[in-house]
Amino acid sequence: MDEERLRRIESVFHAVADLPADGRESILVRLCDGDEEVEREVRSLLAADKESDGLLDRSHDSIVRDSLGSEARASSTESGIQPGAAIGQYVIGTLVGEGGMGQVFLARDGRLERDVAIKFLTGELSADDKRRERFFREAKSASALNHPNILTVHEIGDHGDSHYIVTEFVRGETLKSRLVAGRIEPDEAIALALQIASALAAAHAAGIVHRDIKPDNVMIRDDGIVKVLDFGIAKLDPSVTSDVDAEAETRVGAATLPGMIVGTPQYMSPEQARGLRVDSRSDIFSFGVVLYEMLSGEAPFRGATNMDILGSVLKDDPEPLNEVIPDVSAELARIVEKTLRKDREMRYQHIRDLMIDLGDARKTLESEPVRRHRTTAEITQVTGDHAMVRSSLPTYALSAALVVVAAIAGYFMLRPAAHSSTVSDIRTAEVANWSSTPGETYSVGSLSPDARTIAFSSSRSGSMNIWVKQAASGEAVQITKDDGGNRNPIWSPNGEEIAYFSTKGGQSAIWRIPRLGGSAQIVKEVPDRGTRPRFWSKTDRIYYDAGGELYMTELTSLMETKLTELAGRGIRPRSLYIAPNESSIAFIDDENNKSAIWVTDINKTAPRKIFESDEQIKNLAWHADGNRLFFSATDDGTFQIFATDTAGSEPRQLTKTENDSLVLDSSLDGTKVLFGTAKEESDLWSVEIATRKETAFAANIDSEFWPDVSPDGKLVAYESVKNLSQGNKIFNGILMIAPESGTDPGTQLVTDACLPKFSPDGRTIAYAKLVGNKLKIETIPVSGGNTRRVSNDGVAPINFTVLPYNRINGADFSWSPDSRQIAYVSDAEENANVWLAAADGSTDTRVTDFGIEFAVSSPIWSPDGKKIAFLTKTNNLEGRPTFSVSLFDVETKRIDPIWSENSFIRLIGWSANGESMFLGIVTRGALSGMPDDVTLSRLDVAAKKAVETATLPDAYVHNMHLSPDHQTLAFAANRDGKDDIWILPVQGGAPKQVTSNNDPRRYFSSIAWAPDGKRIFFGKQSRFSLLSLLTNFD
Amino acid sequence: MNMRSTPITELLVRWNDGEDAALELLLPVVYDDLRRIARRAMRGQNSGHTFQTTDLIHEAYLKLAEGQRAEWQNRAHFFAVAARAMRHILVDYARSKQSVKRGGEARRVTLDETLTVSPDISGEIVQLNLLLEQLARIDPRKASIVEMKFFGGMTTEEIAEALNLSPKTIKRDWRFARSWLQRGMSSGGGGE
Repeated sequence: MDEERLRRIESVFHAVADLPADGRESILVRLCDGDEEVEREVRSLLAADKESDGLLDRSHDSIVRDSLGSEARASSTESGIQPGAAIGQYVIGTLVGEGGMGQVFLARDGRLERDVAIKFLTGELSADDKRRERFFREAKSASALNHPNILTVHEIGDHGDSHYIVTEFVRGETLKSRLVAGRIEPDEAIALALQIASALAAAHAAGIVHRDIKPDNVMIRDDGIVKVLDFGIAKLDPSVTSDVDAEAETRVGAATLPGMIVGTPQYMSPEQARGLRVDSRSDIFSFGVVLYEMLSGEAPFRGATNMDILGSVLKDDPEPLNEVIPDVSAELARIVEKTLRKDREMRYQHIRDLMIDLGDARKTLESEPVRRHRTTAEITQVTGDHAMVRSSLPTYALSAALVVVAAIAGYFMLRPAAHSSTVSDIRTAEVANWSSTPGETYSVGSLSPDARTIAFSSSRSGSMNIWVKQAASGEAVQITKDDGGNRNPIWSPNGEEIAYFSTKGGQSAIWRIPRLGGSAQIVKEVPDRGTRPRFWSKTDRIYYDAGGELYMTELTSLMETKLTELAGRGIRPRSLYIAPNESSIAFIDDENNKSAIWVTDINKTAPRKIFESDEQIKNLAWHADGNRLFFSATDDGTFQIFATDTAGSEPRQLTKTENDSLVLDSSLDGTKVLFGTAKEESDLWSVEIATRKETAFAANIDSEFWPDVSPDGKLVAYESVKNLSQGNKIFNGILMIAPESGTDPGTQLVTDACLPKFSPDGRTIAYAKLVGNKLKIETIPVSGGNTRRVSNDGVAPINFTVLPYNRINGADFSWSPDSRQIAYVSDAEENANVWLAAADGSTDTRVTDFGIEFAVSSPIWSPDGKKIAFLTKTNNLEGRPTFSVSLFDVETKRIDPIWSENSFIRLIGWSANGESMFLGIVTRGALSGMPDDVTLSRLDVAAKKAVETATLPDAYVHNMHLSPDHQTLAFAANRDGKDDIWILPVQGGAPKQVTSNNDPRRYFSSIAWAPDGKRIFFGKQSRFSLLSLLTNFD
Repeated sequence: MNMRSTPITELLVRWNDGEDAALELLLPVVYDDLRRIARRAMRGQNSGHTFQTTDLIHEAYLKLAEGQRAEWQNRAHFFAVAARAMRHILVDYARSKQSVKRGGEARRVTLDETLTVSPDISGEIVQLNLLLEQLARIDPRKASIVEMKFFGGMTTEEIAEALNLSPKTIKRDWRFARSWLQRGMSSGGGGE
């Protein structure tokens, strides 16, 4: 567009912009005078003029703040509303409750002459667009529920900057306070339970799950009518971070800890306790707990701490009710037992079935006149007492008196279309499974043209290679056997060959190989820019995705065509996919904390966004019709498979698996989808070196790893993560602290954190805390209490190997011997450098000045605290890395490089006298987390010379740790196919095995020495990979 | 670049005469200080203070202008330079975040793409910068106004002063430029 055109467009724009809509149209047409381009331009600009919530409309402060990554945010639970204020038709009365979400007032609706409860949201929620939007979406669906046993929502509105919800005002008491008086007789309990069930049935029918059924959320009105409150309110507690973190929403914890939520352990279903998706059957379990408590006066699952209660929920079968309370019939006891089964498949599946059984049980009661007489008398008396209590002490119970509905698990903006099959119709069949090997993450695979065979990449043989397996039966056959990191296999159109990407022999190329194996040939050399072959067409073209663009190579001419020009549009998609029609292209892009699917075509048509979500989107496969698309996206933190189409129809959920399901391919006849899942286990153990006796330290259903032992040897800090299946939640762990005996699971210190490290004086724990998208160093006293931010900016990316979980380099930050400072690596000023922060948070200074071409890692203090050793890595022009060890002198600030090497170095630590350092040098290996051949070297600091002291074949270089006296090295190695922990004197000698692992598929992670040097804590991890076919989804 | 050989006054005159490159030459004068002050301001915010970027620019102005009062014609001129500096800072920062996210730098060993945490508005900032470059080619004045307002946080009056235009013109230009950019942002493109 030239300047003159722009002037013309601009003048028309200004001429009509402020005209009222009805008059604008004719003037616009007249001014444009048949110039269609100008008219089109002006119309689109007028539309943009009206959009008022974009980046350009944000305040300068917020732009700078968010750009520079600060996360601090003004927060207040004060609504600023005062009694007596008039808000619309409401006159505000007394403050009757204050909860996590805001303040609740009794108010008078002047127009309708009735009392209402009005709740003002906290400033923080009001200021957060995404959460506010979700809040309103959910509040609106709740307000649509019209049922006598569900608290009515009258109105949702705005007042200035804050938002409020108006609900029915209930005078009565909660079931919780009712239970303080003791158990409830069976027939009254059933009467109350049926009302609760009726509320749940209505909600479930509308596709709404409550998620937090408990006695506090059940109001008994003075006239005996039950009102269920707080549908899904836990989801909206502001202490939950605003980032997409569905998992945290069901995570259990003490409500006092920041960032924790909530759910009430006593009433949680096992699946909820495990952080899995909840569905209507989870409500049935919680309902069963409430019913059990009503009938017996005691909650079925108990414990001193939340963790104990959860343990009980997961493991214990409650005592049969009729054995606890003789009044309860065997029939009623059986009903309760059926609601409390651990496996939700074995529970009542529908609340209606439960209601029918409860109704029958009530009839049985009524047919026993003697008992009925007695119980009725008691009830009269009990309710009489309560009536008195209530009238003298009216309980408004409104701290939570609003109904907000949880978007149900599995349907985040994804309500199934009417014609579609339900999840239960869809079939999955397992095609291949194996125990994963070190470093293995998700397998990538594809279906042969007849969909009878799959090809996939796996490192199950020790290195990443291509495997082929019949879908119906038989064993998987390994068809490539080299160390080229062979990946992304695709099938030739006749199903006879497989193409894949490989860097075999240092040559980065797409290769082809017969399906039954044989000799592989290079198709075309292509640089490795995340290169992934996607499709091999009947026209003998191979399409591949590289560096954010899609390319095509003609096999006959080897001519290459770049099919997209997205970088020019400022788009660098994560992955691209060509449809089998060889025209449509889809890609996944992340922008502004949202994931989106876009479509374009080989004519470079402007990309069109067809779906966008706050959830993460990963992997995509075209349906053969070139119109539909399958993709994986998170649902409550777990990847599930969805289907949509290029028209952007609302996606339909196809899976509800407990672990991540990642779509890999779709068959050419459109009837099958290939996807991968995995399940991981990770526990902490300790071994006594003298006796080689191993003891489980933390071995429950969650994944535990990365232990650190306190300097007095009494406590162990570690990280715990729920439902970990691909390392993606590793930064969102819960830090636990427990006695070293392992008898007590311990207490939670912090959430969304990782890497706990005790200070040398044993008083404090430093850790990395996920704040927004950065890991920042914080400290917390060992006894708990206030956390303190130590690093202003993020710690440079902490990387880890995936199986087993070991930190790469493993010294992301380190305490000074006097416990006063922490050295760490940050890329706060773009480049990675060593920073020194005072442990009390008072100072934070960059001490090195490396440019962008350097990777800096592993700062470690010398024993006398005078020097900090660290590692740098830089690549020469040919891309060959140089690793260097340097010393920073704390007093003179001088930096002294002391030694370099072209092989990978891990800086393990200092000798006791501070005169030398120990290095692990990888002499062979891929550094992918697989065991490598490592030499242990002693680097003389003064002489700047390294001497090899031991050779450690098949050792995990990222898991080598010095004993507290600096005399012994402990390391994990894989010998004879099994992981074990070995020790050897740092000066050299024969390694000694200290563990006795007999399971070849359990991998050992993260060693931590006890301070007396007599015991070692470590992780045991396993992973099971699965490829499956999805059918019958249409 | 040696600042002594290109006095601020001369550069400001050249910039007033329409030489956009002169503004680039002025950048080093403010860039480092702004970055440092911004960093400190962010730290202050962590300890509970509210962060005000206009304060930040004001502070940089006071410090820089003190010894060189004669050379800066007015505050507005300084702000215009600061706006360009802020644009560089924010866009560079957004780009570096983007490249971290894409694993674009060799030094970042990422084993699984899901391990990197997504950035916030960095993508949009980079996109806006591209669009602004396009706008500058067809209508440099509007691009300057956007830069001063969006990246520099300047008020309409300050921009008017710096550009020697009426506030009404600034408002009018901003409205059109905003719509033009907003349209580009919504369509997800950096092209026409």
